[in-house]
Amino acid sequence: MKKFWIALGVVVLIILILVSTIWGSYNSLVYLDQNVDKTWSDVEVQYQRRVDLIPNLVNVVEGFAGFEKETLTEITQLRSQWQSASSAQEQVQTANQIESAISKLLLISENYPTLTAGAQFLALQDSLAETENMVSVARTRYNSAVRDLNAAVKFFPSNIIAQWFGFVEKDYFATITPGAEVAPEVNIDV
Amino acid sequence: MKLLPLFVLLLVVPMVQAAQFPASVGYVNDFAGILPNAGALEAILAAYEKNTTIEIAIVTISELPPEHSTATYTVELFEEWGIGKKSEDNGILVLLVKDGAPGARMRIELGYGIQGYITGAEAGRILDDALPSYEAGGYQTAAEIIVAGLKTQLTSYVPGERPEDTPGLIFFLIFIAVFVFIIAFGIIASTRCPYCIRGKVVCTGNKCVCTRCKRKFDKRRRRSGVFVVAGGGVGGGFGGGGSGGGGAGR
Repeated sequence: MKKFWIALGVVVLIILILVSTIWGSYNSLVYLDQNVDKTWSDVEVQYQRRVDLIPNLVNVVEGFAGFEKETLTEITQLRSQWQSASSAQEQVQTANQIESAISKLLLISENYPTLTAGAQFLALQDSLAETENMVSVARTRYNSAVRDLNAAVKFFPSNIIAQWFGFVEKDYFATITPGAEVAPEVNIDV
Repeated sequence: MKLLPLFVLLLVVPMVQAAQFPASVGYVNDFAGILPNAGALEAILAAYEKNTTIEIAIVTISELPPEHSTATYTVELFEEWGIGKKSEDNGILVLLVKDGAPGARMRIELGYGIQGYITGAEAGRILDDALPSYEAGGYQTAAEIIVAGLKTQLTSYVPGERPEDTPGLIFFLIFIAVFVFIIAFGIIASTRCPYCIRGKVVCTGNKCVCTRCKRKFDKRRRRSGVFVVAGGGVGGGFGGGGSGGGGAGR
């Protein structure tokens, strides 16, 4: 009789350990998965921030006689393209195009000393630099969130639980078009 | 007990390796030793935190670590120290690099909660104001100009409710538990012999005798409770706020 109770105790203990392991793994997987979504939405917020700066940028630059109109048209077009983007893939692509368009615009601006010396333009440069920086921070955090999730999905024992509940690895930001990692040259030297 | 030092070592070694950034020493962290009157700034920032809950940290360094810009350095340091209250993210990190090159001289890093009050452009203007002093080697003046500029921008800041921080509550409970334990220990110890410790003491009037080692002594020689005040040790003084790369650099 005593042996029976010991055996029962051991079985109950093992079950408890198993259940708590699964429970813990599941909860941490849910957390990691949501963290990826959260950090991705941060990236989107920062992209949106950058897009919101475009009208301001166009306004400041437009007033200068002889400023290349096509660059401005391109950037305005990209803005509406961004607003109608439906998939994340499309969004990232447009965001990258916007990034290079802005850097092109800033490069061209260098030819207009009176423009670049203006207080408005200087303020805009700071805003753009800030946004670029925030985009890159958001991306870095997204990637590290993905790394944590992917590790949990791959490693034992959470990989088994991940399989049961359908958690899958997610993509790093590196899958975007080449050149996008390079932030536009916002020259903040004074 | 012989294993205890080893155990402690095991705990300490990973911590040492993980510590890439220096620990904060206060609101002003003059690691480059270029602020002759750091104490005055420290007092200003301490008072400011008291009034507004905003945590402003000033850091000076001689040079940036390899593969770091002022932007990446401040973001990482901000995260490491957790400047600002956790629920408010109302921290600001001001970095001054000694003899820095243009673009890597100064930076203001804004916590999430501060970005609504100071934009990157405004932070840039504050840095522009401080730049002449910086270039003349007046780091102290530059830091003071930056702090004054930040304060001006933040006059409309409305501090949220002081965060109800549960960790504080937990530490408080632990402290109480330790306290109770120490008092209990003191009471038990006070009924024990001061020489052999384990023996019980029997007193008649002012004269006491130990039932175990038979020593005789006056009542005032009896053990009294030892009060140990556990202090600090729980990281720096910052509240765990975060930033996302907002701010400006020069």
